[in-house]
Amino acid sequence: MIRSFRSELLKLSRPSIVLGGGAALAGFTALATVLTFTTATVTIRPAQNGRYPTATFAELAAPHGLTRGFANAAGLVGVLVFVLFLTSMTAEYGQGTIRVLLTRQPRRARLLAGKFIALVAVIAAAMAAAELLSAAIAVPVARARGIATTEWFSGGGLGHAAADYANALLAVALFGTVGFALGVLLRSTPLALGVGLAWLLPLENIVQNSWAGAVHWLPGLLFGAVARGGTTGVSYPAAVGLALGYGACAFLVAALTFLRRDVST
Amino acid sequence: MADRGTSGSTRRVMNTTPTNPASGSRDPLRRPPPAEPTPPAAGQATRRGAVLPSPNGARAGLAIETEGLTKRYGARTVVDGLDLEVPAGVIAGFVGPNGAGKTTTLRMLLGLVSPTAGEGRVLGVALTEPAGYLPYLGALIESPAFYPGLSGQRNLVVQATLAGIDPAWIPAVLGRVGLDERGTDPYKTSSLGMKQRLGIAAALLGEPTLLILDEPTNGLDPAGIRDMRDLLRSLNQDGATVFVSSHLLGEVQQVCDWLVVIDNGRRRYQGPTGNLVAEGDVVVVGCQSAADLPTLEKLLARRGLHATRRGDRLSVDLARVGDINEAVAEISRIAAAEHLILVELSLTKATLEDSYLNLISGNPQP
Repeated sequence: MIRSFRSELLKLSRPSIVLGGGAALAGFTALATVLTFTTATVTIRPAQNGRYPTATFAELAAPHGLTRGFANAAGLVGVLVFVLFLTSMTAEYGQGTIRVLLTRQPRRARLLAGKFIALVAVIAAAMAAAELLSAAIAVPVARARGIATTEWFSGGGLGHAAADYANALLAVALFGTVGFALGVLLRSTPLALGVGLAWLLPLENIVQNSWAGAVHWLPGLLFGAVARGGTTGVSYPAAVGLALGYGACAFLVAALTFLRRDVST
Repeated sequence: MADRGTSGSTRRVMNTTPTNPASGSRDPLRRPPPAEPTPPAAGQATRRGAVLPSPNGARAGLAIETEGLTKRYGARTVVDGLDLEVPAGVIAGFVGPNGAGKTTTLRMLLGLVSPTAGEGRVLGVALTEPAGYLPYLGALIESPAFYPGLSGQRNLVVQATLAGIDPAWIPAVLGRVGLDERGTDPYKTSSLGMKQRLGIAAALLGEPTLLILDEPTNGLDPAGIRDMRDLLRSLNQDGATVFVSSHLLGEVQQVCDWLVVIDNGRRRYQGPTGNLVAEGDVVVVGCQSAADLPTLEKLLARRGLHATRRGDRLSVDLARVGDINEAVAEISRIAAAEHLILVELSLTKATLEDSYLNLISGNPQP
């Protein structure tokens, strides 16, 4: 598994992934952070249909305000990670490199586990960088809008930053796991991307607009709730529990399929 | 037997090749050929210095053996009860028409596809345990498969890392396929021939005991095909068994001393290449008077020699003849005894292509 892990890291270090993925991640994070602070209001606006309310100045001045933008970005970043994990599998089938991988590491469980853990490790590092970027943007934007930042750098503030990082990482890793599973199951990049993005983006939002209970059950919305540490629609423990269940099921189905299926591409 | 001349020993290995970290030996790519091919049978040390297990049922001297190997996809049988034997230490050709089941067979040997029925062993290890033999095997299946965004060298590093092979071997294998100057080029900008060479280089990583190559000459120019021929001979002389699928029958005839022919998923021939080729040899006989040909044909048939009319000549089949010289003398004696004047008595050597097409077109073979 270690060899598979190291081999996957080598692949992920190629410029197209580092530069392309890094730029997209930085862009999403910067956009979410700027929007979080520029759309903040003095008074409270209630959430509707489980959607996240706009932050108030008081909320953003609280200890957890430093990484509020980062947490908001997690949903968008989750889609990015979903695509990365998905294509990391479908590309192996599309390029035929899956044949090479399996002749070099015939223990399929080790190959799959090493690959998955490498992807998660890269995402963990990228999310840490994204959080730092978000914080670096948040400080001048908050000051420009007159939002106090003194509480952000207290012990409580840094604790919130760590918790936001863990939640965001868990959320994007779950998005990634579902993408990884779809990649293994469908093997075709266009097909898997079409199915996955159609489900996560328009379909879940359409259902959410007509069914209040959607936030309790739909995986994409649950992953988003995990990133935010829970929402007014679904509590954090409930969101984490069910989201982990979805992730575990997705990985199990993918692993069983990968272990048993012929490689005839 | 096919000619395996000394020209095959020409090699391009660089002097800077590192010491094999696994075995501690000097560069095994430069190892002198053994006096006798020594198959890496079960229980013996392999080229990587490891020892393969000695499973029950493994027959000594066979690098690959299958019994009743079958693969079905739904109602379609792609490989149908294939009994395959490839002796260790040979260069074995694997030929058959498109769709005959060659690639599926190779995939089963590599653990990529599970057989529907039958069993087999590679290097003495059961097909159901590919992790037991794949570390000693190098393969190129179908087209070369690499990551387009990485250089050729980086691609090999990825594979070496995954297989636990010291990347210090990479310059040597790139040099061996003539890519020592081009290894850092991005893979996506490589020509088809360079991609093919890189695929061979990847297969050579880890000093494989057994090489399984599917159409290795695809995309190669004539010089590249010649280099490939030399490379296969060189690897074989270094002790590797080579199992190579190809449609270039002229190349197979030149390089391969063992041959497996399949069609519709079934084995049609297995044995020394020379034997199959010799079965297509004929003696062409011409009489001064064409009217004498039917008489001669009958006389030959009485002596067990099968002849067929080809215009104004008779073609005498040598497939079941033990001694060709004796057969030619016998034809001459028969004609002389009947006072038939021969104007031609010549031996025509068949090519593998002749014998293969004869075999595939349905003519009976022993």
